[in-house]
Amino acid sequence: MIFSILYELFRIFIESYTTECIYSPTRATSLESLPDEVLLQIIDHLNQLDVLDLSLVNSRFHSLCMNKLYKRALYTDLPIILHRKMNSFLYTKFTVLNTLHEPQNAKFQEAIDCSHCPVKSWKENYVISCKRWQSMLSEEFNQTSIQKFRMLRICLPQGSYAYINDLKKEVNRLHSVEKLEICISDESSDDIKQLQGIFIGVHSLSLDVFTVNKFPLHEVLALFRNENIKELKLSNCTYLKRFLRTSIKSMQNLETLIINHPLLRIQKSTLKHLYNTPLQKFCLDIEPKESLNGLKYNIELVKALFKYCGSTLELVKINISPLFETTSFFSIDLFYPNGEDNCKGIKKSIKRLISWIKDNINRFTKLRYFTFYDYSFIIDRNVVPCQWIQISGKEL
Amino acid sequence: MARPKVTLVSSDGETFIVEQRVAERSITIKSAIEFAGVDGLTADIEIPLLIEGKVLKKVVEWCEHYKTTKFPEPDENQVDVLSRPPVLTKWDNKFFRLCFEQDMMFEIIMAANYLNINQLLHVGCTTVANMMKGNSTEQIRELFNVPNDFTPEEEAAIKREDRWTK
Repeated sequence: MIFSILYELFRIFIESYTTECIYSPTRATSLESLPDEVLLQIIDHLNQLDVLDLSLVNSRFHSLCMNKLYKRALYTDLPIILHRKMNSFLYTKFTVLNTLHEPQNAKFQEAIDCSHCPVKSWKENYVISCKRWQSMLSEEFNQTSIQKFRMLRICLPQGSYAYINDLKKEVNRLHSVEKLEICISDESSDDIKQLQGIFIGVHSLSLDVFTVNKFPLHEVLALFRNENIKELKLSNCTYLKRFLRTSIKSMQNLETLIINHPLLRIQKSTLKHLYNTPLQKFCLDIEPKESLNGLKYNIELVKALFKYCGSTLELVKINISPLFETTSFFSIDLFYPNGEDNCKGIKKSIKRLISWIKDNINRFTKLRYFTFYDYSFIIDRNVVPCQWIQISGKEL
Repeated sequence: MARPKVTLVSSDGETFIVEQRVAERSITIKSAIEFAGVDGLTADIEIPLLIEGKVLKKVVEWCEHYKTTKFPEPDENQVDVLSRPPVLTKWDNKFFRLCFEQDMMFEIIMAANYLNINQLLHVGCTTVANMMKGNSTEQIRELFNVPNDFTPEEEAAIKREDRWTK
């Protein structure tokens, strides 16, 4: 009697489970008969190239695979611990690739085009490579013809001396580099001196200093005094006035100077000797004027960020060109040394800033792209893009 | 006193008598047992399942093999299954790849999903994914007998979107 009651209870229980299923467990005789949640689990085990192949199988697989395909990837060797909960509303469309955490995507990483062709990278799907140069040498250089490899971005964290020694061994392969971006911290400023003579023919030099301490910019620039530098981009550099007074004089062919520093105010007197040069225009344009009111307002915002997040904020950098008519690039770089909890205020303010940009986007008639870098907040690939940062990376 | 046994009954009437710990590899069955006896199982019980006997036999075989294995809990700190260490043992490979036709493999996966046996489902999904790896679209269609419902124009458009990685 008891057994029959129990049996009936189990039967009801099990059937209640079954009726919730829209498929029958006895009919799964093909891949297509598997429910979506199971197919998504299968796709989880594939690297991006395999997902791409699968996405073309039929329309159902295509829609499933689109959830898994990277739209944009930040490819980094930074020692970042990926965390499921480390999502940032700031960084919604990026997926971080990290060789340490996603070895299954090694094939994808080998196949991506890391030639950094600017025109290509502005397209909807692109890869930002933050790989250290030694891995670029071993992987990308072997797959990319030297003629095509004209841009190189190298990150030199503390203790890069050994890496630079390796780089020297490949010196012949680096002669095609015309555009050089160096990310450097103050701890590695001595190491960078070893770069002297490695790059021949660099026209465009970008120094991105990952530090809040003083950095001997003039010493670094002296390494490139024999190069025909036409474009120079300095990000977050201190000793800037000294540089403007001395180092820049030796750069006879300099056509473009981009300085990224939101709190910098260059006095006209600093550039007296550059009167009637293109740089004077830069100097004048950076002065407050009506057309910059909006941005000025937001620069004040950034100041506020420093004020109430000073203890946790390592660096906020806003890069703007001075005039709406000529601005083709807008980027915001953030570095958070600590966790998300410390950055709520920053998020709120940056959101306001982005909102302002979006509202005023029509005034940037030549804006080609807008980037947002956030090196600490990592997004999960499944995060739904939020609307207000849609303009990222799009040609307007 | 002998431990109570669990009898699993397949949809076609086949019965499988297993230890409770074997049956409880399935969260669904475990819930059913808890549903029946809050203080634990005191008598033999019979559980009807909507799974064919031949499939249930293999599921039971898997559960028997791993009845003493303690599987690690999913790590919330890791991004996804890609980050987990490989779980396919030689035995798993043999279990899925060498013993069955494809339809049996999918039925086991479905059964694992239905019975909520996460590890078996994970192993099954890994096996299918391994079969897909390195194959072209056409090869995947052929391997799994999946018809193409794209128009040539649609297919070309998707390929254009994806060419950035090629």
